[in-house]
Amino acid sequence: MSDPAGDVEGQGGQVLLIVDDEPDIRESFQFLLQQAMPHLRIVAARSGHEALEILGSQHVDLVLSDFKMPGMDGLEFLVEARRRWPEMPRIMFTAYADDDLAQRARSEASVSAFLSKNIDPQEIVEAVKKHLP
Amino acid sequence: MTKATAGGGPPSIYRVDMPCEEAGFSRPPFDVHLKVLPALAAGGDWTLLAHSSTGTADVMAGWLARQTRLEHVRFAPGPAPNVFRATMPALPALWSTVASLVKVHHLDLEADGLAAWFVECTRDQVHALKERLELAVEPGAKAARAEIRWHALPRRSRPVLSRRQFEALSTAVAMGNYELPHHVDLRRLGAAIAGVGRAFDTLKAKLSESRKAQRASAAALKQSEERFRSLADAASEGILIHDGVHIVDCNRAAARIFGYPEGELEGRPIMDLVAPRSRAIVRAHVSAASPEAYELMGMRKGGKEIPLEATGKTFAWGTGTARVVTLREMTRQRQFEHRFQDLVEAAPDAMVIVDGQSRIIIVNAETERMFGYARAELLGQPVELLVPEGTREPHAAQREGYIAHPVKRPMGKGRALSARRKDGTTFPVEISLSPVGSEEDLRVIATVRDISERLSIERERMEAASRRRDFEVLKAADRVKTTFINTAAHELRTPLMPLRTQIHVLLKGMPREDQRAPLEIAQRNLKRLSTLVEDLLLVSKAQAGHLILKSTTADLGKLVTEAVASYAEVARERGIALDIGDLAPVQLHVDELRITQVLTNFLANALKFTSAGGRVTVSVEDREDAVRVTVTDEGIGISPENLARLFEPFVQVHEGKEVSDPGTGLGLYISRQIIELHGGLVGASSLGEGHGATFWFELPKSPPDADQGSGSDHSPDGIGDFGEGR
Repeated sequence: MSDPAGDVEGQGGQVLLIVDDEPDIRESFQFLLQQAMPHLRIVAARSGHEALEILGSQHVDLVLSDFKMPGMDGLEFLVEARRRWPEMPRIMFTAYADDDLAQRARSEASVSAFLSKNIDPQEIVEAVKKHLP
Repeated sequence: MTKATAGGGPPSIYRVDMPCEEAGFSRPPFDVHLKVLPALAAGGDWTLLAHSSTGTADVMAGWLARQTRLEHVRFAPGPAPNVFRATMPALPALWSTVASLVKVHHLDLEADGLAAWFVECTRDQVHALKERLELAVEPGAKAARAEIRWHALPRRSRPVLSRRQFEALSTAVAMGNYELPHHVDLRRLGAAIAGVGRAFDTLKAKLSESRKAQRASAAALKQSEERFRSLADAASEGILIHDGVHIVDCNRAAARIFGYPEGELEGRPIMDLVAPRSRAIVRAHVSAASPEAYELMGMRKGGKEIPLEATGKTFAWGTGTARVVTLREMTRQRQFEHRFQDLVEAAPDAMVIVDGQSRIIIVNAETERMFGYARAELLGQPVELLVPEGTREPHAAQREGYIAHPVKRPMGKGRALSARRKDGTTFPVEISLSPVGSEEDLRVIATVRDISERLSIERERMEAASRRRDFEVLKAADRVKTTFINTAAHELRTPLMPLRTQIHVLLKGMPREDQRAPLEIAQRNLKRLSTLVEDLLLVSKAQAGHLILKSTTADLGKLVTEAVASYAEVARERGIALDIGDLAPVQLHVDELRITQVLTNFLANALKFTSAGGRVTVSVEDREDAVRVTVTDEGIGISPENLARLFEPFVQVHEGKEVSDPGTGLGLYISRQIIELHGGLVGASSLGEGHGATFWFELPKSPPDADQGSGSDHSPDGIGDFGEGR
């Protein structure tokens, strides 16, 4: 994405949406990514529904979603996000050990990446950098 | 004699009925048909032909001798079994009187006491005869006199023989066959003969001719008869001879069986000795001249039934046939055996019948087959012979209880039972019991069914059900395990993530120098904890069978090269030479990520335990069916006892030794799981501590299963879901 003049979203003008019901995960990801990419604007949602509201009200360049959340789970959310904003890249991260999940995330929500929560923080940073348009 | 006179019209047949006593005879115990042969009377002696349908010749002769009170009556067998000829010097007075007046055809004396004269005369002669008969009757016997009745028998209007019977009779007479069909009523025949005088004359002539020969044979017969009689009377079995209708002769035992005084059976119809319900079977055997033994219900004098076993033999006698029959009383046991033998033979199960003392009295062929005993070995033996030794005493006790209260016990009711074959082997059986007979004469029918086959089917079915249950339990356990692994993964990883992230953030955020070292210690230990968690999750998955390979065709040489490249930096830092030796390019169907995990595990271990200046060599060897990858180091080596348990979980053979990066003790175990999942082998060798070590794994060129994994997808972007694997 180009960086048009007058973009009020901040330097680079890119927006990342983090979706996770765990505040510590949300915030630690925010700290991690903000430190690595100071110009990135990070918004957070606590649930799939909240995330869909945000997506409906503002532009988002990349969405990073957890799987296990109350109500709508991450897969359902990403499937819906894909349906409505197919151009927006999606990454799923999870603490689950379920091999099938990665498969389903790829086929159903067409995610760009599937991250395990146990990976090195630096790898998370790099995955986000890679998939930001 | 003024027999036929011109007056009084043509002669007719008249029948004159009167009591036997009036006719000069006492009431005979049988019917008798007496015929005077006038031609022979001319010679001085009178000859009578006596025929009875119910009395034998002997009995008739004895009776007639008493009637005539004459000493010189001679008897000879007649032309048929119950016909005899009597020759005597005089006749009873009345008979003489009647014969002097009219032509007498014959006199019938009936067992019910009635005498019937059949005479041929005119009406006038009837009156004269009547007068004489009435005169002859004792003056005081008015009642008897009143019973004299006269019947005119028209010559033609009342034929006593059908045309067919008449022709048969004529033919028989013409051919010299004197035996009359049994169905011909002799009394009526007499009347018929009167109407066919010529036929009768022919008969007379024939009789006359054969008289001599018969006399001669009579003597011989008498002699042989006496011999036969003494023999027969000595026999314990009843023997009787009959002509198909009447008993001709019998021995003492036969009379005893039927409860008659000696001499009273002769002349009786055989059916008098047969209970009505057995008459059909007797008739069938007699008419078929069957030599087979058979059972029947006899009838004693007085009507009481008696079970008998009879064997008959039909033989030629005179011009006809007679049948000699031996009779044996059946004891209750014999009766019982006979009644049940056929029945039990037809049964599909083994059947054993025991008496009140539990001795075997009947078995069937199936019993012989099932138990391996011959019938003779079983009969008379206690039934415990068929019971396993160990349970004979309780069985005997139980059976006594049963005999005291015998009830029908159906198949399959009661305990599991065991039976014993002759060879001592036992087998499971099901037994039904049915008591029969009375209390003092009890028998028990035991039906024995070998249920080994059924039991084994049932056992199989139960085992299958149990396997199904086990499978369900396992499946349930599997679900629990899967849930646990997933939950554990989630719950352990989730708090680790923010920790690692935040230490990362702090270290990146330019900490003060005095803060850096503590943060690095925290980071290192967090990483170690993360590795442990990942290793444990992987082990759990492997043990639950959830470690699924995602195999693709890969070049093993390339995987090795890449793994070595990723450790080149570490090796250089530690001053260790990391070389690739032989490197055969081999395409294999493997899960690249997992194989790389094993390679890095082996490499990391080799580098970890090799000192600076040492060397680590990796080689790929193309063997015939497999490819072997070997990692050789010049490290501290492994003792033989440790070599053996190297690939077990949580084994750290260098415990206590200071190493820069202690492992979880799961790396080699996980490596073994991965290689074995590929159908390969892992191994290690060492010349001992201080002599370095060699770790190898071997992968088959053809994979163990057609397709272990479902696709070619690994975790996206090459990011594995487990750590470095030490």
